[in-house]
Amino acid sequence: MKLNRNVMSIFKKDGPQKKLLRIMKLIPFLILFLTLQMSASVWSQTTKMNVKFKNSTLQELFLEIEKSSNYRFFYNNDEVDVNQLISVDTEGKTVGKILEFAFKDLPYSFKELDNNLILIERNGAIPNPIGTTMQQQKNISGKVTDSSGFPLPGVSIVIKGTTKGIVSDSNGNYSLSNIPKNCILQFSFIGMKKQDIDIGNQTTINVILKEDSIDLDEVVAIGYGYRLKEELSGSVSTITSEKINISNESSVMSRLQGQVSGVTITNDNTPGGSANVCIRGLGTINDSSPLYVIDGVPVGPSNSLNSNDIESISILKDASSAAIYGSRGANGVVIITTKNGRKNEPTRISFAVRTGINQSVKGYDLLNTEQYGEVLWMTARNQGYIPGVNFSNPYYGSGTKPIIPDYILPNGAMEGDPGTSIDNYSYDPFDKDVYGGIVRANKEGTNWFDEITRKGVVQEYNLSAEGGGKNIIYASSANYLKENGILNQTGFERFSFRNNMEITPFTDWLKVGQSLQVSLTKLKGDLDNNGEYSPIANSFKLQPIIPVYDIKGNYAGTIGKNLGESNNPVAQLERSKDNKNDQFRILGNLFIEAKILEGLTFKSLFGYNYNQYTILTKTIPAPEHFQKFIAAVYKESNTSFQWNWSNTINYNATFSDIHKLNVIFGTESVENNYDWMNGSRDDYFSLDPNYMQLSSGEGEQKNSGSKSEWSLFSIFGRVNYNLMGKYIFEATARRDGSSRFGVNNRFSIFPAGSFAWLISEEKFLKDTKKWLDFFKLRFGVGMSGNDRIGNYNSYSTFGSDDTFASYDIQGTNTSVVSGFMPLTLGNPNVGWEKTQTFNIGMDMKVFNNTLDMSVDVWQRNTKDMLYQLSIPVVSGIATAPFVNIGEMKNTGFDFELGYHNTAISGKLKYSITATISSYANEVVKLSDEINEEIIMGDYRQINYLRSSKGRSFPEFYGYIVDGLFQTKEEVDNYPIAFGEDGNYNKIGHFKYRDLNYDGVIDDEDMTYIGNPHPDFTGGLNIDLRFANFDLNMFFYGSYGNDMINLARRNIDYGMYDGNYSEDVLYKSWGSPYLENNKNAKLPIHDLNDGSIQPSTAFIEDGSFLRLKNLMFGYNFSNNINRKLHIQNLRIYSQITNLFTITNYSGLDPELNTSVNRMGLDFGSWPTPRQFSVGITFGL
Amino acid sequence: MKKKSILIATIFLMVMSFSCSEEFLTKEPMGTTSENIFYNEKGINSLLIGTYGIISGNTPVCGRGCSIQNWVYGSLMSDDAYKGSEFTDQVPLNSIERWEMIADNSYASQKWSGTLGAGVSRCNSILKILNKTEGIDETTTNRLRGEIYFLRALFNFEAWLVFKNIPIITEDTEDPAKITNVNSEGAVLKNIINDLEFSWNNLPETQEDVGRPTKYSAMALAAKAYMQELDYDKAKPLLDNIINSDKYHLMPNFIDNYKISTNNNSESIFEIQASVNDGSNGSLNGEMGIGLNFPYPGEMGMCCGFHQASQNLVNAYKVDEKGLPMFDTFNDFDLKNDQGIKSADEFIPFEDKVDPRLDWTISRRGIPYRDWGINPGSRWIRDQAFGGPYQPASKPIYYKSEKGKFSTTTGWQLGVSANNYRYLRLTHILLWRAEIAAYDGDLELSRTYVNMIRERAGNEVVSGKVLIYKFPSLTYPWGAGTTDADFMTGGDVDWAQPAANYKIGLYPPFINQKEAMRAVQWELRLEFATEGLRFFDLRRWDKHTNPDFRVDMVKTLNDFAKNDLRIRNTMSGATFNEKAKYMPIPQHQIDLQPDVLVQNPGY
Repeated sequence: MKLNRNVMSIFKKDGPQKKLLRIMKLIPFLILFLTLQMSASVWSQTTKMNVKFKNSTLQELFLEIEKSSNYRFFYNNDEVDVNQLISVDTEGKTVGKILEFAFKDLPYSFKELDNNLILIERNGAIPNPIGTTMQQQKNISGKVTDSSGFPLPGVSIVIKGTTKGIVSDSNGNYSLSNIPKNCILQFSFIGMKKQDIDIGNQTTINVILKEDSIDLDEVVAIGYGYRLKEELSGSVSTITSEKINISNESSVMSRLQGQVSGVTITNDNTPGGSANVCIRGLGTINDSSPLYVIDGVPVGPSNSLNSNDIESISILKDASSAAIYGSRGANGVVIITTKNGRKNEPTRISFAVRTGINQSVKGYDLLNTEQYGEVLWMTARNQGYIPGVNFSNPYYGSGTKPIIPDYILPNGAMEGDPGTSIDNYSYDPFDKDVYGGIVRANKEGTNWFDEITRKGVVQEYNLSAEGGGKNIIYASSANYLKENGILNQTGFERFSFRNNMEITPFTDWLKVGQSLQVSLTKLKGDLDNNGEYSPIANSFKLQPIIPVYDIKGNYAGTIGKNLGESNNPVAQLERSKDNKNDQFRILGNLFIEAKILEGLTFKSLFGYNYNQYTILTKTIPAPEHFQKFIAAVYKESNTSFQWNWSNTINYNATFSDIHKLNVIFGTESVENNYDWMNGSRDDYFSLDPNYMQLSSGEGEQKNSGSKSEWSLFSIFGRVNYNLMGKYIFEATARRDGSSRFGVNNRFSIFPAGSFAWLISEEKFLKDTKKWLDFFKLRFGVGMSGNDRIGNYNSYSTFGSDDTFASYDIQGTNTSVVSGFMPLTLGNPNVGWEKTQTFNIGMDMKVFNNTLDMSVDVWQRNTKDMLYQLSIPVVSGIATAPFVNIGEMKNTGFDFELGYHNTAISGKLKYSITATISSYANEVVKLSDEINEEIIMGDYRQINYLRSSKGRSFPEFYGYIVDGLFQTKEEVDNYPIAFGEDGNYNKIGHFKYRDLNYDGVIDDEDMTYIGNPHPDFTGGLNIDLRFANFDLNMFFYGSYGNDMINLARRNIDYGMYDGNYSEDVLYKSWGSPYLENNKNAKLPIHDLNDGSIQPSTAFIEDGSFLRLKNLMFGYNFSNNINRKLHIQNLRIYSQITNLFTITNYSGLDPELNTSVNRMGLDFGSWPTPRQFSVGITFGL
Repeated sequence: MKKKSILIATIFLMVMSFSCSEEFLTKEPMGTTSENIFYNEKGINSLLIGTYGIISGNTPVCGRGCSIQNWVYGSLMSDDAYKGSEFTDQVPLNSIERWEMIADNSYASQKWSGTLGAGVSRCNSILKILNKTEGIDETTTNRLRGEIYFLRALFNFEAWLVFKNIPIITEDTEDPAKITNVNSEGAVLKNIINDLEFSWNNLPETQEDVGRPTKYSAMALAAKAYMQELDYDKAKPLLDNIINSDKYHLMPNFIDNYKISTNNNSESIFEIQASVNDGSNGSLNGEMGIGLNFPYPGEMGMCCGFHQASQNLVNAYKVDEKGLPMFDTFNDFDLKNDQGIKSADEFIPFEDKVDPRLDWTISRRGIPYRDWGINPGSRWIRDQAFGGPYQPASKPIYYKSEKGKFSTTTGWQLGVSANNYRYLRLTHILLWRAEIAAYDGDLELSRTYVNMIRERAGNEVVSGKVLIYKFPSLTYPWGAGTTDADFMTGGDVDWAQPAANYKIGLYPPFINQKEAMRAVQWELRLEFATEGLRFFDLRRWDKHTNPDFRVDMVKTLNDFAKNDLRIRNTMSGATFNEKAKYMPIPQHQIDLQPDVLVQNPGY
């Protein structure tokens, strides 16, 4: 015990910075031991220094050596008297020589361990504290390893209740002689759980030490600094690389889904797709995404960041932690720290390969050609037609029953029709007026979803090297990722390179460093997700009778009557194969850090982010489509450059051992420039991709472009005071000035304070020590801001416009004179949106650290919410300015629970962690007008979403359906819909509820009918390790969120002659297949638009539980590794999205949409199921 | 020493980073401008051009609901036309066609925004800037002001036509959001006339730019406004003034009012200029408001089959032996149509005598369609059961020979062309004057003007008698010919013959005022069919207290709906009533201006 504490006390003098370097990376640290086995005892020969001490204490010598080298001393206070005076005077000697010199008159010897530890031992016998009565002494020996079998050197082994002990050697072996029988040996090692072993009659005891998985010594990035996790007073979640790498999405933020509490993440499932991240609910009706900071640079990760490069991610959730980012922290801050090497660490090279297959889930249950005909006839009857008398369809004929024709072009021709002769075939992709395709009907029915989906190959290669010397540390990596999407021709590719480096040229006071990431990402194909005209939407909007190709192998489509107006999605994807969005990004920083005085450090960091992306979209004519696109090329180039420069002074001091003070003061400037331009041209005589460039083509060359800028200047400070390691007080303030606001409101101050109480350190809790290992309470309150309202809200502007402000005043037919129009109405008085957060949190570890728990309860109140007040149109048609008017409230809790233990005498290690995030969102006020509403979620002139005072932002809005009319009486006695003269009500139609009892169903009867916000989302991670095998299962779920499946709006109710669901044929009211109309699932299928009003009939429960990840791995044993001359070798296989349990009827319940379309599924891209295998090895 | 220099460097850096703030934090918008650059003639004119730019109804807040052609409110709500297309496209139009719109109908909301929002407010903002501008001579100022007033009057008129109760907002209005739409009787009209009076007193008789209004444009618009209220006394001198100016003359042919080649002709008083392929993105300076109202068949490459002509309208062109309309019996039975008949099956067009304007106005099976080929019937119709057997109203269609040059080549609304909408033309003036004459008992004047129009209508008829009655896909798109040129000369068409049995006769002297008025009213329908006037004409004639002149709007439209069931069941159960004479004030605007805007009765 004592031994350990002494080690700790030395460590603590180094401050958090060094601690970070040494302790944060426990696992590589252990690997390091292994690495060095073959090169033991060479270090002291390489580290040379000058030492001059006269009558100083031994401790002073140790400190000096520690300061100038990477060595740490390790001793037992009871054995070694560090206050012993010594004199040493050496020049250019190794540490070994210095110590030899220093110890020449002392009863101590030293031993170098491989991990930079120097063990000081007393020579000869140790006085026996128990006295001479000891009898029955014995010898004991054994080996200490970690759970993966790696030997652990430097483990202290003490006879409990005595100071007698030893430290394990470089192979983890130890032996103790002359110890009492039946004593207890205590094994301890930093970062590992202490273990007490009753020796009994054993003489050989091999011990496996377990890692302390929620490591109390974990160092957490908190914005312009680091803090020990146990000393945190704000609400901060962290996640380290191992958990980040459980998932395999290309976007880093997607991988955090379910892994941290308080964060709700929904993934876009497209290749290279991003994630919607919201921390603790929606803090605002405006952009509520968090601020990202990558290695001190305030920019988002996007899909360009290589997840393997990430060391850790901290999420600052409450204002007391985020206020250090002031005007940008209101919606939380995500701090991403990338990996770096460690000093005096030989280069470690690791290589990882992963490959797999993405595969789609099942599509909608749609009709085949025969069933489709049946529905047409059924619909006609429902509409009052009499098939055989006054109804016909161009393809299925005019009989009493539909007859599938042989051809759809010529219209419904049968075999033998002269028009079907191939001689009549004509097809010219360039002459839009000639379409003479001959198209055979697909009598079985085309399954369009199957036609557009495929198995997409995924592959990733990662090569990294990291290490360090005496004056330098570095990490470099190169990554290549290629993901082929589940839709034809879609894909994502990433090339990325990273180099991090820190140089300490003069070891005692100066450090310079840099970080650089260069990446190229490429998106390919038609990646339209959840759009009305996306390939997936077209796959259910195209009739089954249409084949993919006509008789000559050209695409078939909707030309021809009553075939709808959807694009052939196979053609759509194929023709979009050259569409791309290439992004080139350089992100990095340079910094210099100097220790000015003891405890006082100055740091200046310059960060930069250069982003260039190019979008290329080609339009290829579609002769088979009713709209005949003209061949066109559109190219857009966007460039953004952002720099930030921060200067901080950090003061760290401990007074009288119990007052620990950390103060940081700094300034930061940020400037962002964004520039875009585009060019387009149409009419190309050839579709050759090489020919189709902006410089070629016959049509007019068109271009456009624009630029915008913003800047921010801030002063900030933070004081943290820790009293006796039990009471922690922190105060933060930041004053921000932004170009986005008018001169009147340009500056604002964001203060915050927090307090933490480590109750478990209190004496009065001594009795609970047996089971309570750690218990901390946290309280935080603070204010942070949001400035995301565009860059120029304070200016009224006029602009020219080639369509809305131009006119052919001279009557030329083909030219216009351009004029001006009002663009924006400015508001120079607008200020920040401010969010106050109250947070009460608790962290706890019990039962010998096997069970840990963290709970936060919080409330966020957003005041002065920036709201683009709807102005009546008579006030002018221009972009209305934002005003500070609304209020929003979010309340919720974050919950994290972990259980880590072993079974089967330590052979099976398991760890179960769960997170739950829950929030409730409420609009407290929008404007002074109490009935102010935000109406959104538009689909074909119908709005599905709305919000107003007292409601979540947003909720579904519509009518309440009370079933279907079954009898004439019911219809006659029911309030009229819609409006006084309405005639919607009839048997088989919906009974809309007359909410206001005025006898008429009209828009007054609409109300809030569902909430797209989940009650909670959660993740469950199960990790099992047995011998060399490991198994990981990760579940993610969302509970209580409603959804509206607008794809059903198409396939259940009919739209543009698209395909229908099986429910229409078999379960709609009046279906000949339905025995009892009371069981009808859908209203009578008569294409009445009254039935498609937004209503409860469309609301579905979007809850789901998904096995997001299942991974099985095998680590080769050290013997094999040694034979292969490698450090480690692991192979694994992984299945993502193996199953999803849900009642939702769409392709996928996980829906990534912008807030103004929240919960609206237009046919979104389903989460692919991915099977992959991988191998990683280290040299 | 080293440490001291770091300390100094640190202090220096901190101070430096403090010192740059105010200038650093000023970032002005780029690519736009603020008001002060407009305080001169060029500036005012730029803003004015910007306002002309939305006259067609194509504004940032509008779709088809804003179209100045009023094809929604003036045409498909009347007996002239159907919504067309198919049921599931543009759903809010279904309820308009059936006169069942509710207060949040998105089409009505667009018209309100386009006219009162974009239009009137832009005019007022120019006037405010003009009032602050110095250094422009008085004549120029007055001309500019005259044009601005004309535009403001036009926007107000359009809003008044559709909503009746609109707020009166001028450049002096402090907060437009506080102005109610409840006005004393005649106040809105008076406001419109006030603006126009300034315009006709200050605008020149001709303008260098054909797109700008003249003195007579202002008079014509004022007359049109008076006609809505049947204020014949006030309209008459204005109409006479225009006629007597001798500035305007009828074009030789009826069709000249609907052709791109005769844009801005001698008959035009004020045209909405349309332009395409002008370098703007997507040819939005064409008449986008009718962008959906073009033939649907893929072979023409347009969209989307809306605004199909009604059977009732087709029947209205029936003439008797003398070539005169069959006022009372025209709709007793339908002229033969191909409803429910496939293109490949035989259909022989009727031989009944019809007014030649029929086949310029509508397009039906078996009749050449401009130079696009023979209309093959069903194959060219999007959903016959829903929208009837006729093509979208064909007056705005361009000629195939103009395709790509005067029709847009971008986007998907490829029916949009440079064809101007003749908002005010001499024909309007003559027939309105004839209406007044009939009312006044000046029967001969009335007959003269009506016969002028009828005589002209007979000058050019659709030619090309189609000799085949089946249109299998092989004959696509024009008979048996093989090239474009064949169409006008060859194929299975007798080009020497008129396409149908056309006849138009001149009226003999009217016996009484009633007969004169009926003839004028009928002529207004035939001449301007599908041009967005019919509904408003029915509405104003319904205001006549004298039964000799009155047209019962409710009865007319309900009869139309009832008889329309003969060919389709789209109007089944639909009833026109008083409330539907005006569109609802958009609910969203009432919500934004509570206690200010008041809903129209019945909604």
